[in-house]
Amino acid sequence: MSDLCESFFLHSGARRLFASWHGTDGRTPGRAALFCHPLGEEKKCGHRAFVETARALQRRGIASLRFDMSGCGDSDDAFENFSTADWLDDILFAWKELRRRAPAARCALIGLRFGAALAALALERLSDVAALALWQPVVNGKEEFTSDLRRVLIQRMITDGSAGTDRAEILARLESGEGRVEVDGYAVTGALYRGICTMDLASMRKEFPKATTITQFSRSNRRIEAFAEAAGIESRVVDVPPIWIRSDFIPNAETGDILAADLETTE
Amino acid sequence: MDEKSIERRIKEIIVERLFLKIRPDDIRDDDALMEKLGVDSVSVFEIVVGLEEVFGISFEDDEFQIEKFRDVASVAAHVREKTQG
Repeated sequence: MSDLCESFFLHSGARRLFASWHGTDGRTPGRAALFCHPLGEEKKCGHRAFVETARALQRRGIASLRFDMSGCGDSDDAFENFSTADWLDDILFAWKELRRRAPAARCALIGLRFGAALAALALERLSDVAALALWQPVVNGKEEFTSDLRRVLIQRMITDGSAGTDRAEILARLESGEGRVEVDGYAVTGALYRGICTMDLASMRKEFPKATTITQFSRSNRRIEAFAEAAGIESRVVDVPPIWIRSDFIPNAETGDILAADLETTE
Repeated sequence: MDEKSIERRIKEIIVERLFLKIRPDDIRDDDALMEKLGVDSVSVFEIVVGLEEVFGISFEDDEFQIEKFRDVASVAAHVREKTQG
């Protein structure tokens, strides 16, 4: 199986979404997957792991579609103009493309961090998801974002010597709808913050597919473990460093193989 | 808590949380975290989470001051202050 990849633009309404299809040498695939990326810097850091995993899946005869959500990567427009509702629409649109290219396949959604939360929420609008792979999922958007805001304080500490503000002040500005905060250079607007606050996997009404797994990287996380146990979802830890964090670790073909093997056990 | 072990444990946290390809002993107490180890805001966040888990402490927002995170020695001093009340 070759590792050819076809890149193109999907048209989601008026917007163009950059996408890459890892096909199965012209043959109709029996299995296929859609990757849902994390946000901001985590997307950049996780990119290579997605590529290597897509190639590893391809070597196993599993097709996949990677795409950049609106305002992210090579897709149209700016990050600050979109919110979670837009990105959910993008996932649905990309899913349609996946189904068009793999009409008879068992199709899976794979999401990393906020992408995992979006993938899980997309389930409420999709009826043909055979498997769901949640990689280090954000279980509760508001809690995760509030914790992540410490990175904003730390960034200000590094540039200005001290944080100069606190999370309560930042959240108050976002909640008033008048402010925005830059997280790792990405503008989080009040609208996006409100969307993030609606992301709560524990309160999802739709059941997860039977073939749903949670994969954690290198070590287990208490919040994720608690969610997995409450939801009755299998959770495991892979011996791969957190692919969404910049570090000395560069994902390679071996990383892809580990993650692809992990995905194969999801279905 | 043994004085020496705080510095050692912090170095272990740095290497482990940032997946650095060096040994904890390769980090000197006075190595500038940002300049020498390339630590950025994301890395500091990971170190903070590690410190909180390992030492059972919690960083308040007003504790994010650069002098507390300059090097291992300054981090250790702050951890010592928090653990010894």
